[in-house]
Amino acid sequence: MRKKQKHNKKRNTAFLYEALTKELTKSFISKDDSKTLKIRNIIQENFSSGSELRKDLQVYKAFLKVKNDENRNDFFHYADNMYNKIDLKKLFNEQSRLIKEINHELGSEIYENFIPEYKKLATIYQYLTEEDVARKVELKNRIVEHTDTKGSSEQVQHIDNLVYKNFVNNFNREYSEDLLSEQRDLIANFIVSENTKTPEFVSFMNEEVGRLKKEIKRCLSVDEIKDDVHMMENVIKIEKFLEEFSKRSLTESDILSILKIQQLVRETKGD
Amino acid sequence: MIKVKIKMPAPPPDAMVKLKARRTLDGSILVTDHEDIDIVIVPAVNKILAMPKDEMTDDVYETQDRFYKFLSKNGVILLDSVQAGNIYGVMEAMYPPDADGKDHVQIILYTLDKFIKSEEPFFAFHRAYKETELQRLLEPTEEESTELGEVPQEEKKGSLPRKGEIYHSFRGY
Repeated sequence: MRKKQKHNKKRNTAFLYEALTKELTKSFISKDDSKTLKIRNIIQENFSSGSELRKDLQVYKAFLKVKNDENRNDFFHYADNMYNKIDLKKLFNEQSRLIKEINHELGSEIYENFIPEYKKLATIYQYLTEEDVARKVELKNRIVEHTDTKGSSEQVQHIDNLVYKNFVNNFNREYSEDLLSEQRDLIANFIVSENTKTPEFVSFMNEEVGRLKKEIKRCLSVDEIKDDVHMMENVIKIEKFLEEFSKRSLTESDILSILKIQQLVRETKGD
Repeated sequence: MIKVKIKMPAPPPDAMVKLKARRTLDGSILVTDHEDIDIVIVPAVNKILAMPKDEMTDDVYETQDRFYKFLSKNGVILLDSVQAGNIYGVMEAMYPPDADGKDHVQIILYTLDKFIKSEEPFFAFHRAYKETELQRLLEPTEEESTELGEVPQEEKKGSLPRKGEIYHSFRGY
């Protein structure tokens, strides 16, 4: 079976262009003149008229304008023709030069810029580089879906501070009585972290798991638990579960279990 | 009689360091300058954590080892407190609580800066290695390049003989 074409964002001309313009805006707002000048020079040098990068960018722009109407096949036809006229070897070399310049002059953080149309650009890239006909048709339909009127209204939005603040306030109002303070802390830390591997979250969990381990050890000496074989077995299971975190990475599904352990610990304290 | 109050300017700090650091929700300080590990100072429990930036590897473990040895040599941590943390890949050590009006977090930050500077040769090596690898991938030599497009496969692949072929060593028998 043929392997699916993987998206390489550094080889996606439109992504590189969008990331550069985003960085240009950021440097301009922060009044970093030398960086602004550097980015402007990079864009001017690499996306000048006649360059293959410019031609490739035009192809992406054409695909972004595709609408789900009777003209969509014409759009694909002309955009495909435009792409076929590009010298791929030359384009590859120009991309390599651009990537090298970005890495040297600006640093690889530039690739982490938030691009709202990232998914769409990735699908177009896959469509252009795909050779399998069936897969190409599938990708063509996906491009149309993305640019559909309904699809564009569901565009990924970057969350600003006000939205975040409102979300936190609503969350606190809704759950302040239902959740324990330690559960709220855990959820708050989890929400503000992008995933379970961010240093902030790992640092928080290191302390919380340590605290829970101590509390569970204390539970083993509580008379009510000691006298009940079934409860004793389960507490030992929890102890082992917590010990596991020093041997494997934390996953999102573990968060739910930890929330339950926090509840259990609070109950054994009789609060 | 006129009273004149003269306010003396605050004495300049003994030393200044520049680190990529930020404060977390629980008041800890996260330092991200090192290329292999992230360092977290947790003043609430007097702990210093070192965690891998990416995956936990032998290189990361060696870095953590060098880090805590450096801190103990500089008298910042209690050597016998170095241990694995509660989460995979995390190492932790305790530092003594503030005493004699000295802010220990400031001393730790100063020592961290010294450690990160001492690690510069390691960073330089990694940067050079990455650079060479990038160069090799982006601008390969003629020897490592193939023509763009479909590359025809070789007539015979692999090192093992195909079904029915006889090993050279058995041909004499």
